[in-house]
Amino acid sequence: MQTYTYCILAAISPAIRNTSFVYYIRHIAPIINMELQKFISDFAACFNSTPVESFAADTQFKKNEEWGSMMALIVIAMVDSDYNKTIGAEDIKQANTVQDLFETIKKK
Amino acid sequence: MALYTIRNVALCGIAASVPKNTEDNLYMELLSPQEREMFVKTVGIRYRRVAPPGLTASDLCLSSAEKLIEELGWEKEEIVLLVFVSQTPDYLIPNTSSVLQHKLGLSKTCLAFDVNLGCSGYTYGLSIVAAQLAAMQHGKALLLVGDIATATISKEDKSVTPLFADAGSATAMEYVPGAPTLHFNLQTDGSGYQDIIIPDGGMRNPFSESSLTPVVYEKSVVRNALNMRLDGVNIFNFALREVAPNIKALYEKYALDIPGTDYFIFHQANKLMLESVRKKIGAAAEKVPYSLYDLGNTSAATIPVTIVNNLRKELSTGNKKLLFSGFGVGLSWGSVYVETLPLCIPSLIEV
Repeated sequence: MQTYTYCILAAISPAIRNTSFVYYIRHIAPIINMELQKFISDFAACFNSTPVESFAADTQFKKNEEWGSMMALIVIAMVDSDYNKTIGAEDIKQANTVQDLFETIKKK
Repeated sequence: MALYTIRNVALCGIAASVPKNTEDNLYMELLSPQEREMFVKTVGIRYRRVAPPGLTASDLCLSSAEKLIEELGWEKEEIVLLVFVSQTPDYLIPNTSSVLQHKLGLSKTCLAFDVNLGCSGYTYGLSIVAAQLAAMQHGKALLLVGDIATATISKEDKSVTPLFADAGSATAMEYVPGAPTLHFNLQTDGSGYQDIIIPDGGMRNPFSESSLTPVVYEKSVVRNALNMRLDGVNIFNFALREVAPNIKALYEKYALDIPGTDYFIFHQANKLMLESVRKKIGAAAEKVPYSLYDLGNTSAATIPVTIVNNLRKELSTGNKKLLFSGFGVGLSWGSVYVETLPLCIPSLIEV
């Protein structure tokens, strides 16, 4: 019933249509995706000898040879300075992929 | 808030001593070659002075004090106050300050006591000595700050061994009407008391046979309950969270000037951490000296050690505006802003 009502309203009102799913896909999702892409490149920049291109949202960063307690501090410092958020040891422990960490930071 | 000023007390001189014995983190077997390089680059510590058995924090402070008294030309009977700040005293009982008063040959009219503080100890020590002198309205004082943290650390624990080194220092202060005002902002958060701790050997968990049992926490992280334990991430986040606001509050309260400050002398904990703090307060890179590459984290002594090692010439020849900031175990932290006249600074002493 809600969908039916919405379709009728969307058809007659451009304003309502602009808040629609299509609008979300066209305008909102790319911004979120851009944020994630920016985080991936910020995260990748923390690493010394791993090329930036080898990082993606689903990269399991703890499997990276460079990863260790030093890298964790470097990432914590980056998140603090670039995102003004604090992540702890437990946040890092819980995250497997770069996107997991991004989602954790977003929730803070 | 513990934001306050103390007047009429002058900083006269600073001396520091380190053991001759040097260890190089680039050859540390606990770390892989890749970890060694990364550690030196990120944390910033390469060489560490490590006290051999038998050499204590009080010995390092004693040699600093003797040299400083000699170079200042002070008469020992003029010294009315001795404060020893350390977490590695000679004995659990008695207070090490009494041992030092005796070894230095100071008068029996000299007031002496110990203060158990670590990384924030120099900032607290300056406050304690200045307040005492201001109350007495006369006299000269010695603030002796030192630690041999390496004696408390498991040599099989890579989470602490590459960080810590040993040093002792002496700071001379005097009641001088009209001396530049000292500004303080000292803080505490005991909720983090377990973040740097030696769990056993005190009265809460008295020494027992089990205190000596080595526990393997992970590869190359092996220690017993008499060894110092440090939660690196918690301490790192604590410093990122608290240090810059503490300094900014001091500057705002007393209308002090960040660009007008000549040097910001931080507790030498970790270069990555200190660079973050430096950027947060907007201090220029050339105003933040580092001694940690050559001398490591010497706990309570890092600020005087950095002054002697890095700023000897600058502070002994001209008037300077300085900010000291210490933070860590406790959790305890503080900052001190002081304007100095030319100081007596003997070169770094090796014992």
